[in-house]
Amino acid sequence: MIQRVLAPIRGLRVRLLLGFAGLCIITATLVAGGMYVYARRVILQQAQDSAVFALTKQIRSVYPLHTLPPNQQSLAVIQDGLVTKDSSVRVEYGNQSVGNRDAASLISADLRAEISKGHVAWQRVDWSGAPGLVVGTELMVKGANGDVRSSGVDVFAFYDLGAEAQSIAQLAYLAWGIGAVVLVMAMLLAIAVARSVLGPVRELRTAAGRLGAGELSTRVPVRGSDELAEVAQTFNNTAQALEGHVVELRRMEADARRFVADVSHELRTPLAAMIAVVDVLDEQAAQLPELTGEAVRLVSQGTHNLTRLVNDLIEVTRFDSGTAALALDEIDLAVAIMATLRARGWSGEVRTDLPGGVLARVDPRRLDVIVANLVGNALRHGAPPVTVRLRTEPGWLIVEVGDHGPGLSDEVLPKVFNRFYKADTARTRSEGSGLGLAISWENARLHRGSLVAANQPGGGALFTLRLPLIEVTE
Amino acid sequence: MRRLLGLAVLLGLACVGCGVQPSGVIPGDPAPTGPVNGVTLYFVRNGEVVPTLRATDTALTPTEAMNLLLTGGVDDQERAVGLSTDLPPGAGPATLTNDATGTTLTIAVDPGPLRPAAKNQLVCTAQSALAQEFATTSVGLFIVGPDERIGPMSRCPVIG
Repeated sequence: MIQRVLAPIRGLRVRLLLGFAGLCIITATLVAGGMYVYARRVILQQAQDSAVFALTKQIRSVYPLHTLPPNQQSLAVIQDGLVTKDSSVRVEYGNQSVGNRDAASLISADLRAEISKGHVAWQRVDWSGAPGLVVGTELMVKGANGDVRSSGVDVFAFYDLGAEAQSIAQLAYLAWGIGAVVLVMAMLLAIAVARSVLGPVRELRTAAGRLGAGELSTRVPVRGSDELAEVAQTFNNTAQALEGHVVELRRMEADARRFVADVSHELRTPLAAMIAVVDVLDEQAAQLPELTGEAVRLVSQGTHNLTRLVNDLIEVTRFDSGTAALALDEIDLAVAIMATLRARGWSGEVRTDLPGGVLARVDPRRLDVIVANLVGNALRHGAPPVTVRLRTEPGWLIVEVGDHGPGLSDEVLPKVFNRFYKADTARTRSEGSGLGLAISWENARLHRGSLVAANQPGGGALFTLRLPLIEVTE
Repeated sequence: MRRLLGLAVLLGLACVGCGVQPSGVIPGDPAPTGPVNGVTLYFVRNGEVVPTLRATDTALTPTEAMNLLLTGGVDDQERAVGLSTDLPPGAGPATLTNDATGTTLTIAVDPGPLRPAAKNQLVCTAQSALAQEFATTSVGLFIVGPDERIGPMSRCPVIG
């Protein structure tokens, strides 16, 4: 819960703002608060001390006392001698009193207890909402023989601390004002710092995104010499190195492909001549002596295999160079697949489940290549019965080719569409070029479909071809 | 969350602590002390002797001070605060003398039957009165009546 609430403040800008604000508030509170408390103490102490000093000085003028216990009149004389323009005075003896009658409630029991110990004592009080000061003392008398005794006369003076409170309040306003100004300045500073940090970070992020999208020439401007500039410099160096490597790799790959394409094309012309020759020799093989005839058949088969390999290679180089194109035609899938099987002479070996009437726009030649490769593969490497099923799902047509052999091992499964990958290393000289499944996969992809290899639950490999179904509209 | 709470507490303290707050009692110097101008007489309140100060126009001799105590009794103001005298009427006049043999107070009644508080009244007033003429009060006091002399008396219990 708290995590979710705090989530929006994880941004660098907000964190910087909060950090600066917190620092500013703490600093301002401590500095201004400390100054305020100290100044208030000094002001109050000064006011209290001067009030006490004035009162004790004033009290000296009421001595010597003449009558004890005092009568109302002598109390009034004492009170009269102590009143000043900024204090009111109350004089008490026992239950007699002279002076400010309302102020009696301001005199706390603690204050009375303290002055009865023979001290001057004072206390700040709440004087009907305003701050006030009560200073109290007992009048002591020195007897003729030097003994000091209490006269029983208590003097209380009341001072208004309104002026001091006002000065202190002004201090507080000043502290708040300065704190607010400092806070605003800290915020502006935080925004400036955040901008100076976040600008380069945003540039780096954009640049990294572009680099990831393949724009290898992306660079960021390097400003200043701080850590962010170092990061930018490192980014530029990395991007430059990456660009160099990628260009080099692309050049090498293009060279290799061009080499394969060139070799394939160069081989085609002599192979055409050789095919013509071995075809003639093949016809005559029967009349040749047995050993020579066997040799001629081997040469003939090898030449045909080589031709198929070269043709496959040329096909692959077309995919690689991006020159392979679809020649779409409206066909009946069942008819097309049956034609493929018939042409290879596999009709009798394959169980088919091909519902008629599935019409689609596909490249007939490429579909033929895919089905021939998959069925040929199943017949060569799997075990009978080999099945070919055709079905449709909404938007897709699906051709499944399965066999009942041992299936594909976990090691083989991810590599089965690799070029020249042969699961059975003992049969490197098999009839296949090693490119059949790779070409099938490329053809499926060219149709924007997919070709997936898997194992059937009951054993045996299952190749599933999925092509987008573009139905023929009547 | 805890940080925010701390900040709030800090701000709250800053707000609450403003202005001039009432304080506790602050003790200061000893209370002011001054001289008295008059004669100190000792009367009784609740069985204890208590000093009172009477204003006088001129300084009184010790004998005059003793006569003020013995013949005058308490005045209205003193009676109002609960003071009285334990000395019987007619105990005056008195004389208070001070010489090498000691301090002698002569009164008109025999001192023996006087109550203890009354004796203390005499001792304390005499001690206070003599202090104005003599720096020392160390000499013992003898009280003499028509037929009886007692002393030396112990010192006044309320003078240090």
